[in-house]
Formats: sequence, structure tokens, C-alpha cells
Amino acid sequence: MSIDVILKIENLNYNVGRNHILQNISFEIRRGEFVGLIGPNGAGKSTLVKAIIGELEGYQGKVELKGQIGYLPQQKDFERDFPISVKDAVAMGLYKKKGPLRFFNSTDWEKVKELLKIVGAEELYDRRIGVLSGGEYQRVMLARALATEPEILILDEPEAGIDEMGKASFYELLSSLKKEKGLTLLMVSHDIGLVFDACDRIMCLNKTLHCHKSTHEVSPEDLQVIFSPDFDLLIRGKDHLHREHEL
Amino acid sequence: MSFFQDMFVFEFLKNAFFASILVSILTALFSTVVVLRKIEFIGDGAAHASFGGLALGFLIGISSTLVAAISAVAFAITISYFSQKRRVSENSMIGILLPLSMALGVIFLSFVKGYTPDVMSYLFGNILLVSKADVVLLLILVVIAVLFFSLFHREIVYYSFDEKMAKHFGVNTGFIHYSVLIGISLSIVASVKIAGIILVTAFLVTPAATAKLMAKTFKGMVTFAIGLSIGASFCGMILAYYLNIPPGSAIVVALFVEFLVIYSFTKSKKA
Repeated sequence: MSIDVILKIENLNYNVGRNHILQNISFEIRRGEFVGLIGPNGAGKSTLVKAIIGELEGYQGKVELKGQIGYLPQQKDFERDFPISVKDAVAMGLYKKKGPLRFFNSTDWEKVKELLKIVGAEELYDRRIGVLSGGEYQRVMLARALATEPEILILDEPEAGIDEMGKASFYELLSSLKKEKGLTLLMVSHDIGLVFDACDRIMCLNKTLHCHKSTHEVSPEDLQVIFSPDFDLLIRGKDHLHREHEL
Repeated sequence: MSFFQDMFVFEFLKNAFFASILVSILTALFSTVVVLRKIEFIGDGAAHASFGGLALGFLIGISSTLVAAISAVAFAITISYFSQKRRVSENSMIGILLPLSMALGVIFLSFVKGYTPDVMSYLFGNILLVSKADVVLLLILVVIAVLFFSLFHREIVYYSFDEKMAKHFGVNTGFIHYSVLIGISLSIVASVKIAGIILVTAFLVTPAATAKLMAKTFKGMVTFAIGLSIGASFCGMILAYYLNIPPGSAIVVALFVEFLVIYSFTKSKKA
């Protein structure tokens, strides 16, 4: 594995019974790249992420990671009235470093403030998690992921639950993390437009890896292979469909 | 004579009073995790499972509390196991195991020769059954539970908030999960004489459900839950004394009144 490669996957296969979830997946991600992983529902994107973060058992192949990993999971519906503050939620990311049976001190809380500042959410420090908007919640979870001081950050559909404005500013934040901190990013997303705007490289997955190219090299045919037959609908959007029906 | 004067005269009243306060602290602590994790069904199921255990204890002539504790822990762990495997739903497993443990309890009791304990006492609680040894056992459990919640406060919060990510960040979620299950089961068995099998669920749900309406942090929720639970026990015991009604039932009604008042207050505050 060459020095600038941070993640290398070789011949990854994963089956559940007779179902092939992932087949012969091989790729490398270099330090400082912002890679978008796209594919339809059931393509195996989240399974691949699980394999990378070490939460998948029973796969064949090799996953080599050179450096600390950070992980931002899919935003699930969280309980709005859960009694936890933003600072406590972010401090969760410091747990591994701190270890069990040790309490957080003022240095740790300063670190939490610093992390929230990085994601532009320092004013949320004392707020309850339940009062946050989708975009604010995702920034807080990003701060938590950054608490492990990752060299590569894996994001699983981070745009879910965020409005359009929030999405744009979240992707801007990710791009600035890449530029300023040299962070490597691998992002699973359904938002094709924003992935093309934000990422350097694109991986097209549907059980097997159909493409792994620079963003400007990805052709409509590459996307059609993984999204067909709904690709046109995906690209042109619902408005176009409505217009076609009206005609 | 007043309640407190009588407490110094009648040993059973003193035992019942202290036991009810200790039960309040013990169940309130675990009720926070029960409510945040939405595992009320495990508490209810373990309570019913303890009935089968109590009856088996009477039948084979060994400590019924010990057998009840073992069966309640076994039940909670079995349900938890099935809920993780997802081949049979939690609700189905509870629907299968809960009546089974009650049925086994009744069968075991029918085989007991000679004196058969009063089933109603175990179903709805009976302060006359509370001994000094029970108070000591409760005190030991309260000390262990307080230590557990103090030492593993962060782990409990993370496990309750997001178990998957807690594990990702290095929390030993298995240890917390099974400690909580065992804690809930032992709390139930230790509370049966005061609260009864049917009513003990209220002790494991209502204080935390009420506290959650007010608390902004987990610490706050634990503090409110303990305060509310002790308050309800105190009022329930005094009401039971003056109105000559069963204390377990009086405490459950007091817990509900607290819930109603705080629910109305917090609702109007939010609106």
C-alpha cells in the first residue's frame, strides 16, 4: 500500500445466504481526496461502509486502513425529548481516548467547544439535542465524529433530514475540512447533484463497483449502468416528469 | 396515635416504611434507563417471571426470593436475546413467556403441600411480609445501584442515547446492557413485597416518565425520578395508614397523580 493511500479494499465479497450483497469490490482512496459513493437503494453502500468502519463480520477480502477513522452515521429519527445536551453528545466522541471510569475535565470541555467551533455550531454548546434543526444536528454529529481526530471521515447519507440550504452549507463545510485540515472524505449520498459539485472522485456501486473516476470523467452511461431504468427520472427530477405527463 | 409514633411501636410498619423508600430509590434509578431505552416490556415480563420463581421456591423449599431473582434475570436476558435476533418479535416472546411463567407459578403453588402462601400478597404487595432482612437486602441493592449509576453515568447515557454509536466510540455496551437487565430484574424481585408483581411496573416506568417531562439532562432526570418516587412512597404510605388501604396501590396512585400534575404543567408551559 503506497504511502499516500489511506484506504485500500481488495476483492471484498459479502453474501447473506444466497444473496450477493457485495461482489469483488476493489479500490483505493488517496489522502486528501473527497470521494462520493453513489448507487441505488440496496446497492450495498451501507454494507461497504460497515466493512470499512469494522462493523461487518463474515466478509471475504481485505480492508486496509492507514490512519484514524471518523464516522458520521445516517441520521435516524432521534428522540426529541432525550435529556442530553449538545456538549454531552459531542463529548461521546472523546470517550475512546478518555477511557472508562474517568470523568471529563475542563480541557475536555474546551476541546468540545473547539470542535463545535470547527463545524460552526459553538452557539449550540449548552442546547438540548432535541431543539436542533436537521442541519444543526448533523453539524453536532460531525463535531462528534471529528473528536476522534480522524484522518479519514466516512459519511453515510449526511444530507438526510436537512433542507436544501442546510445541505449546501453542510457540503461547503465538508469541502473546507478537506482543504484546511487535509481530511480525506468518503461520502455515501443519494444527492447526485451535490455529490458532483462537492467530490473529487465518484464511485458507482450496485453490488459491484461499476466506476471509480474523477468527477469530470463520470459519464451518463456510468450512472445509467447502476441506476437504470430510473436514471432519467433521477437526473431530470419530478418537475420534468410532471411536465411530460401534462404534455 | 400518628403514623410516625406507630412506626416506633410496630416493627412491621418501620420495615415497610424504610423498604418503600429504598424501593423508590432503586426502581427510580433503573426506571430512567427503562424509559429512555423504551424497554418497559422487559420490566413487566421480568415481574411476571418472578411469580413463577417465587412459586417454585415455595415448592422446592429453598429461598423463594433467590429463585424469583434467578427466573426474573433469566427472563430479561431471554427477551433481550430474542429482541436482538429478531426471528421472533419481542412482543410475541413476551406474549409467550409472560403467561407461561404465571401458569407455571400457579401449577407450582398447586403442588405445595400444607400452607400455601397468599397469592394476592405477591400480586399486589403486602407490607406484613416485609422483614428486616428484606430492608437490609434492599439497602445493599440501593448502594450497588447508586455506585453503578455514579461510576458508569456517561456509559449509561451514551448506551441509552445511541447504543450503536456508543459501541463505535468504545463503550462496553454489552456490560452496560446486561448490568441494567440484571439490575431491573433484581429491583423487581426486591420490590415485590411492597409493590406486588402487578404494580411493580408502575415503579419502573412512572417516575422516569414524569421526570423526563421536566429534565434537561440525564442527571436531572435521575434526580427528579428519585425525588418523585420517594415523594410518592411517602405520601402513599401515609395515605395507606390513615385510609386503611394497601400501601403498594396507594403509592402507585400517588405516582400517577404526580405524573398528571407535571404533565399538565409542562404541557401548558410548552404551549
